[in-house]
Amino acid sequence: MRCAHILVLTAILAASFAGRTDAGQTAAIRLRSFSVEGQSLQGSIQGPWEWTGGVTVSGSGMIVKADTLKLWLTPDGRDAERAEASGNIRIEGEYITSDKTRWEIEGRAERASYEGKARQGVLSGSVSFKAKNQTTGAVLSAGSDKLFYDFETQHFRFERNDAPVRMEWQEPVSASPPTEEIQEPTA
Amino acid sequence: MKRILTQLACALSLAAILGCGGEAPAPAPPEAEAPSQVSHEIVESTVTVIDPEGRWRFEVEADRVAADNVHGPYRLEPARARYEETGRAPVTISSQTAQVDQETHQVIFEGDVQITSETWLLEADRIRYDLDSGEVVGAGRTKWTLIEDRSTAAESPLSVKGEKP
Repeated sequence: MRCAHILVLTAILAASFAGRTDAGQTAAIRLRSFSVEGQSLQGSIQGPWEWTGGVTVSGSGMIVKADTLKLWLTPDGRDAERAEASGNIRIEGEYITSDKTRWEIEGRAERASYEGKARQGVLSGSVSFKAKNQTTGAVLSAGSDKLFYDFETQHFRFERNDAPVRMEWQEPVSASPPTEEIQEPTA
Repeated sequence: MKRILTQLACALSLAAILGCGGEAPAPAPPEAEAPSQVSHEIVESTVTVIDPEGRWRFEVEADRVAADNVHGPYRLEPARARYEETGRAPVTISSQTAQVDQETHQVIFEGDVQITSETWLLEADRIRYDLDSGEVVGAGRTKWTLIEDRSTAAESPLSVKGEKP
């Protein structure tokens, strides 16, 4: 299903992020089902709906938490036309790329939005994102003001002060014990 | 856009029925005090609210409808409702009980509330539906789920596992 929601955004972001190390392995993902849980809901009977006071979005192995979320559906109800989340956005979960590699995803931002017509998602406000390869321990990470994702081209970019931000690659720490000399106690 | 409530069929149907000889309450036992208000009960009744311009229609029915007096509010249990709007998929609502209030133009669904359309499901403990504005307000636990579209599920080139609870 062409469901496009903030959760999708983050999932695909994660997928693209993780798959970037191997050319041609960027995997397309379409979220088939997700749920939104909250304590306070308001909206029209057919949407849009707004959750306040804390909301959790779950699906495709990812969990997104935010203070508020507003969700608009397309008239046929089969896709998100627009989504806006704000406040203490936390993203975590596991993503499996097409080569079966498991990536542990963590992300933070202050706001997130998705535009269905433009097929673009944006994370903004002190964005931090980290993807850890659960097999090798390698970590990809980036911090920025904004993170853009194009759902059509599956391209993404980090920006700080309107300038591109490079991702950091951290090799796993060696599993061998440190070569620390043990000194004999002196009498 | 301001939505105009034109007909509370509760006023048309329930009130009409009540006013035209709806089921009378059983006589009070001699030793009991006379009730201050007459309690009415209707079996298998329907409340309908219709937009005068024909854009939408809201209907709620129940096996049992009760009211303290002709002015309501009416208590329906279990409640089954349906909302239809031109050009959009119909929405159905079910709950253990519903209360239709003519004074406030509100319907309060309580107990295992489920609002469903073709593609989504909203579950809640309590939902208040405003007949004038068409707005719903859910207080307490609410869970909204986009239902998997099985017709296109096979399109996904990627199998995502490890779904967290």
